[in-house]
Amino acid sequence: MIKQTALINDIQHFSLHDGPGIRTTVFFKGCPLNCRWCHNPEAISGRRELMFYSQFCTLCGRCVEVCPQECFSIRNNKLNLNRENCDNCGKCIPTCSADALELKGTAMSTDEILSECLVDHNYYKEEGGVTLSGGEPLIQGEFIFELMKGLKTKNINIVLDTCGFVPYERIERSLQWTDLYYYDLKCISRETHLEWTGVDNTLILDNLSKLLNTDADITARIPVIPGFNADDNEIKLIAEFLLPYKEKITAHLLPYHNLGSNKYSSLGLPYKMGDAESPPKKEMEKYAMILNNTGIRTLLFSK
Amino acid sequence: MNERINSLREKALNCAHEQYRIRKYMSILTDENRNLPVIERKALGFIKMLEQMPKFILEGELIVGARTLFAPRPGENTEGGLSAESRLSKNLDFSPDAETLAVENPGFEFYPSYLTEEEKARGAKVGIAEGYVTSHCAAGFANILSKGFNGLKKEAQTSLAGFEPETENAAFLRSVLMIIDAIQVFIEEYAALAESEALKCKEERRAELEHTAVVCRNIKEKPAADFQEALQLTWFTHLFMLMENYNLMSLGRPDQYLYSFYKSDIESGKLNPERALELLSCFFIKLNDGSDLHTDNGLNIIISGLKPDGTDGTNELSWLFIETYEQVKLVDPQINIRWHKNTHPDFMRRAMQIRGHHPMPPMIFNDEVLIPGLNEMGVEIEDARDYCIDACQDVLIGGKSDFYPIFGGTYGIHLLKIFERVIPSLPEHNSFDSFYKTLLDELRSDVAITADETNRVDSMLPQISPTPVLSMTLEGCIKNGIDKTAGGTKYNFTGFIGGGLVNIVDSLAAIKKHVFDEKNVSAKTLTKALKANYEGYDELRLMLKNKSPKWGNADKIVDDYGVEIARIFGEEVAKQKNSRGGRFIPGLMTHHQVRLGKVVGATPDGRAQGEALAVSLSPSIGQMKKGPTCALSSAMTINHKILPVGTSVDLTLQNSFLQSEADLDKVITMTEVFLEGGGLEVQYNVMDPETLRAAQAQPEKYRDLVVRVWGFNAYFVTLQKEYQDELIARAETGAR
Ligand code: SF4
Ligand code: SF4
Repeated sequence: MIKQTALINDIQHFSLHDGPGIRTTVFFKGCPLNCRWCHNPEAISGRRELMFYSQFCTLCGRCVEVCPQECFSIRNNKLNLNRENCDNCGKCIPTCSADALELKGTAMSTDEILSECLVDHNYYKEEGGVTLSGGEPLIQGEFIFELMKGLKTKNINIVLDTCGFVPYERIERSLQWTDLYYYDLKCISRETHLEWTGVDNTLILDNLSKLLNTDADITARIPVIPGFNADDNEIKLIAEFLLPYKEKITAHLLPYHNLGSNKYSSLGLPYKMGDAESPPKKEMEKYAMILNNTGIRTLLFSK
Repeated sequence: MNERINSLREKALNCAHEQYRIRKYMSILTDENRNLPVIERKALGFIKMLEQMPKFILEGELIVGARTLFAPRPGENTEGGLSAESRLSKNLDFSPDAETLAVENPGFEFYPSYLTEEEKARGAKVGIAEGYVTSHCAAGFANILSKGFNGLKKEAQTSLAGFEPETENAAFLRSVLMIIDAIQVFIEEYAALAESEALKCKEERRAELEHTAVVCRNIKEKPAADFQEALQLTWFTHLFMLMENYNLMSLGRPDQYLYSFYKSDIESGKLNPERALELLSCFFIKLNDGSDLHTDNGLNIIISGLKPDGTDGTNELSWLFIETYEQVKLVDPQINIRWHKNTHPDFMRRAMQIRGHHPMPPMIFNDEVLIPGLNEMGVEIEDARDYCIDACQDVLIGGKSDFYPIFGGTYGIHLLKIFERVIPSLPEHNSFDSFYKTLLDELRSDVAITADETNRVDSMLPQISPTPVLSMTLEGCIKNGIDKTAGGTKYNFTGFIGGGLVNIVDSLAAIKKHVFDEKNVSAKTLTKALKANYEGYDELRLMLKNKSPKWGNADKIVDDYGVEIARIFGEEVAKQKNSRGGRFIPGLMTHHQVRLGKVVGATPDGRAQGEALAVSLSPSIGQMKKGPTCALSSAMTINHKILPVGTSVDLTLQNSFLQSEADLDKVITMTEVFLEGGGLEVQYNVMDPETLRAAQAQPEKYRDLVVRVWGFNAYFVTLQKEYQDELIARAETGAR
């Protein structure tokens, strides 16, 4: 049976860096990977999650009263949230006038997603459209294909942003609707990949090779993470991997940033990157040069 | 930047010409002239100023002349002259008219006294002081450039022959003739000064000054014959406008009326683009003559757009104006563009990349909406195609119209004031619709009342403060022998601007949801909380602010309130007639967002008293939840065509937005979709909050940081703190 709804974290309008033209990006909830540097930690778990922004809390105490699981308590002028008992029922959200509480993961139907995207239909023109991102859109069962079908009946350009860790047949099915793949390519070394993302990259690389042998448009998205792949060797390995497909592939280099670190505390999670810093511009330029010199068209993004 | 421009720019920033300014009050009134018609006495005042203004030419100047006569500053000795101390503190502590309207606070410009006590008292009754002007107009530059002062003189003489000497028409025309005589003497004095300065200089500069003398002698009588003459004549004309009308006077469409001079000079080899850039830079620097005196000089230039014949008017000068702006990088003039469906994409892209110290994209006006809109209001199609903007961002027909409605501090109609009047009755309504209907009825009747009030004041203006200097340049006035304050020009409109729309729309949405639909709060409690300015009702205020739908997020239910109020306002205004034989025409903008925010109490959108209002049709600060496309989509739902004085969407983008070519493309596409979709005007404020905060902390380091406040640019450090804070808040919550 087709899922009627999927959990959506956010639908972002005028999303500048998610593909060509003016785009609306749909962020699905749930991802098979668990990357240490993830700047969308709310997208990892496939379940609804409560975010608490302590900086907005006015200590009004209404959430304390309303929560059936007694998750909240106020002590020493501080609101404590005991997440263990929280079943993400969402009852506390409307009571919080200060907008200090937010429940991530809104169940939306394909029609609802479609109509939210269509708000910007006029702006898409020839180039723009919708980017499906996450989380991982391809783990959303039939739902994702229904949505893509729906977008295509409206003639909307689709960018599919995927981590590639799904059975190839799912990627293959998506081919008919996808105008451009944003394919995350994190590193080639198996051990490192496993250690930093929680999964082995064999499937990811195999899928990418297969996809590269179709006539799909593909951009490899390479996050540059200090301690993980931010060194000449890893980038060279990536360049080697992509070399046979240099005619058709474009690479994007995206420097690590810690702008997502606040989200970890709002989710009650530890931030695993410590005080790692963004790679300096010079270093990023060096990596871009390695790829460009190999003949791979490479664009450098700033954080 | 060449050395000349560099040094003139420095001088302008340091206001080197301050040393030539004198400050004193004057009167022209004598026993002999007190029985002359007011308009002739007013002309005498202008002539006296021309006679008494110290003249100077700064080293390197190619365009000459400046206003050097002012009223003493408050607390200053009335003999004029400025203490060394206050001269030093001038640039930074200075916020004379701060947030600022010439007509509310005429800064230090003044007019020599010309009214009897009895006349003054009559003016005071309707709130018009001696010398009061409505500014916000563009003189007939094309008219003067093509006819010269002798040409105007001849027209006035011919017209005068057709009127009996004791008529008001004859008095107006006699004033014009007196004014032209005095102007010719004034320009001759500049010629003589250039000549005598030349004697003191070495070869190159001597030749320049000798040429300046020739230029002045030519244009004091004849039409402009080349580009330099055209610039000098334009500047002198503007200077005369400022003397009579203080500031906030517009230059109209200079890339159009200066183009023929530029083109023929280039073709004859007399001029090359480099020299043109240098001359234009000198002209631009002159336009900063009073920039140290006002936060807002409102010196708007609008370039490109359709020509009266309906073809694209973008020309080499349009491009050169942009280049000059970037070279001179001073607060004035501000460059704005007109867009239509055949605007060349290269020009659009160039305009979007205009930079001062940071990106300063222009205000973009939509020909496709404004031209039919103006036509609908009775403007002939050729004239409608020739529209320009005034000092702020209101639309008018340069050289052919008068239209501004600010009288006695009436800011068009302050929609929120009406709302404030109606809101205490909320508990008496048992449905939202009944409350909403009351509001709309009140709006209708308020438009008519405000129009009547405005007319009462307006009709007194010719008797207290006519403007013969401006009028003689406007089409129709000389021929009809009628001053523009009495309805002498071609289009005698009264612009009628409604402000505060977005806060009303947000308030309605909050009331609908929380009082009537979800019943989270009773009408009684809400009105009580508003009265208490939310003191003791913090939770309620946050709920209204954070848990209500808002304008600017492409939410049809909310946007529909805006659509309906705008329509009713537009229709009602267009029905009103003014006292000059013309009509009222509507526009919807909210400026003075801080000042107006202070005079309106707390509103049901969760805004406490004193908090700034939303600027024009932009979302309230911090409420652009779905990004700029949705903000524009909401604004697009309004029928802009029926609001041809103007509407505006002012979006703040983070500095990074216009930096990469790809991002710029997206902003341009978004803009074009808005314009194609019927939006009237959009402008982007590109700021980063860090720079603004640094400038607030160390103003001396950021003396020349220019920001856009609404329709005008200002040096950030000269703004009142509240406005600085408001800009910082906008920068912080802008799209990133
Ligand atoms: S989501 Fe439900 S269980 Fe969790 S804290 Fe809020 S009210 Fe309590
Ligand atoms: S309801 Fe919101 S503001 Fe009030 S105590 Fe809970 S989290 Fe804080």
